[in-house]
Amino acid sequence: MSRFLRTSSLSIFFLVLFVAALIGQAFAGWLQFNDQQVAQGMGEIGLGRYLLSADFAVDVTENWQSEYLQFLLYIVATVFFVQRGSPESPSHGGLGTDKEQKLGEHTLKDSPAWAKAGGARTAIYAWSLTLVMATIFVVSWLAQSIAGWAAFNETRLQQLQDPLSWGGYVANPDFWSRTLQNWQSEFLAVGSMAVLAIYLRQRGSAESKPVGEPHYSTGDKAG
Amino acid sequence: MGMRRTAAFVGIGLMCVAGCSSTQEGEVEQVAERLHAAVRADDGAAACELLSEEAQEELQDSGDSCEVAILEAGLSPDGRVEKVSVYDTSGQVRYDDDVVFLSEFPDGWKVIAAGCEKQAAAPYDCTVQGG
Repeated sequence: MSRFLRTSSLSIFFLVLFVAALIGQAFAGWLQFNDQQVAQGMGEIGLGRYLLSADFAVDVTENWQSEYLQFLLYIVATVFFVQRGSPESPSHGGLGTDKEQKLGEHTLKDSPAWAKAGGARTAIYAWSLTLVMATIFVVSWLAQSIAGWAAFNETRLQQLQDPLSWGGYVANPDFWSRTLQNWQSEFLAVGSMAVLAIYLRQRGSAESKPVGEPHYSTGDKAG
Repeated sequence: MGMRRTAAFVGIGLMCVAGCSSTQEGEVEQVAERLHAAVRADDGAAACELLSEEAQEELQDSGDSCEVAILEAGLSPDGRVEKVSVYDTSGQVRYDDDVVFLSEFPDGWKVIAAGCEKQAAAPYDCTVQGG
């Protein structure tokens, strides 16, 4: 057990942070929701009811979709785009040769089964990270649109206005404001990290070049 | 965070947004129908019990008691339900000659507005109205 904790500490660290932050968000969101309800002369709801509400679901999923989009784009963009000096960038763009990717006759004894299988299975496996991240992004964004639609209509009814259709909500500024305010911050964070990592270092981090590595060193050769 | 965890959360959320609303539509329609039935029966006390506190107070601003004012509010209680919409704690029952808005309170669904007429590009104008 202690060996598992040691060898998986990065995943466990982020899982604990995720759960703690989600619990914190649930309580803060619940209190904020009830504050607004009281201010508008509406009824308060319990925590359990809030956890199943569209208000909580849209707040969670709008952040999820943007985070998965961020990493999805980063995974794909670093295949084709180069940033000289960045440890996050390939030294040259492209999908790489079979030798570089340890495919075909270059597979190892311990290579994943689907990497050794060849044909469609290897082709799918070669893009599996992107496919899964893209699926989670699309499902999260769809969930945001549905939950956001319900939360938006809840407010419209409180204001004695007719509810919108789902299509009407997806064309509404509320949907795009929620979406784009998350996207812009993710794009800024990723872009700035790629550039800052050219000149700055964090000793010991896989996301940084070695401290003594020259600024011009790019890609995995730098790391 | 695992993919299955994400999928489960999203799945539960989607099912609830769709399913939780549909189970509440009956309750919302029932409260609106009880309001119309009380007005038809000239039972102002029963009608007022179905209103939110703010809607009751708004009616009393006219100087009459809620029980009297609700019967003089000019509601059309004979209409036929055309559509019921519920989004979390808010609901709307559209009749062929009236629109009723409701909200969920700790003691159940209450009417926050009734006798509503649509205004162009603006909230409904309602003869009974209050948060």
